[in-house]
Amino acid sequence: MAASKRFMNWTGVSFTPLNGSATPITGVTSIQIDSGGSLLKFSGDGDRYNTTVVNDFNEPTVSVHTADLVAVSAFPVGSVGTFTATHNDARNGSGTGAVTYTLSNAVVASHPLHGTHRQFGQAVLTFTAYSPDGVTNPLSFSIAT
Amino acid sequence: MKITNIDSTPEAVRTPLSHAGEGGSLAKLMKLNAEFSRVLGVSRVFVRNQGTEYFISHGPEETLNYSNDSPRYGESRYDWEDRGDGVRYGQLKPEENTA
Repeated sequence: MAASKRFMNWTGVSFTPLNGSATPITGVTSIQIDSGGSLLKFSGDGDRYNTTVVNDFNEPTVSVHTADLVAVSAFPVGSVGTFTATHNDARNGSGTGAVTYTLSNAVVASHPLHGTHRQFGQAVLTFTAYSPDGVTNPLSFSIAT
Repeated sequence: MKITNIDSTPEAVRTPLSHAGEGGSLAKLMKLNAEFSRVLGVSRVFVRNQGTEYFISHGPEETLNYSNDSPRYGESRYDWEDRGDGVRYGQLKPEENTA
């Protein structure tokens, strides 16, 4: 069935530490993926507005909201590895049209846990990333066909 | 360095952003995957937006250049050749293939 071009729910969410095995992250309720552009703006002389705006730097980040507190607690801040998540096609699930995001050289930036009376505990696992050569985007996309 | 065997299967591709055509990001990703999964001989490709071009490879861990812990830091890991329309096919340098 053709891709619906709509997305719903996340599957295959995992973090694989360097020299380790993949740890699934379950109970995922939300993921935010940001390519993290940074704008540098220039103005001078009598300018009242910027005359040049460029994106000179990118710092991709991923934030995962999950009820899997055990998995999240297993990743200390600074852990390095590969993060993967698939945004399912609304009609085909993880089949045709599903997009997989891979953050290579992902680094755990924070993982605060939160619990409220009569609510499920939640954690927010946030990754930043580095690029070994300084030029290759650590965030890649692939699509299921 | 010139690629001497253009007929061999490329190991990576660089394309201008415009090569992905019009439409949203999903349509562009589908177009790139349809064309270059055949070129690279894989079922799905990994696409990175490099700002001015796409870098496409068979896996997510590939990098354009040598890493900063290499004495060749700053140099390309691939030999690139334009196929004639701005799309460049890359072959890993021989020393990369034997590493």
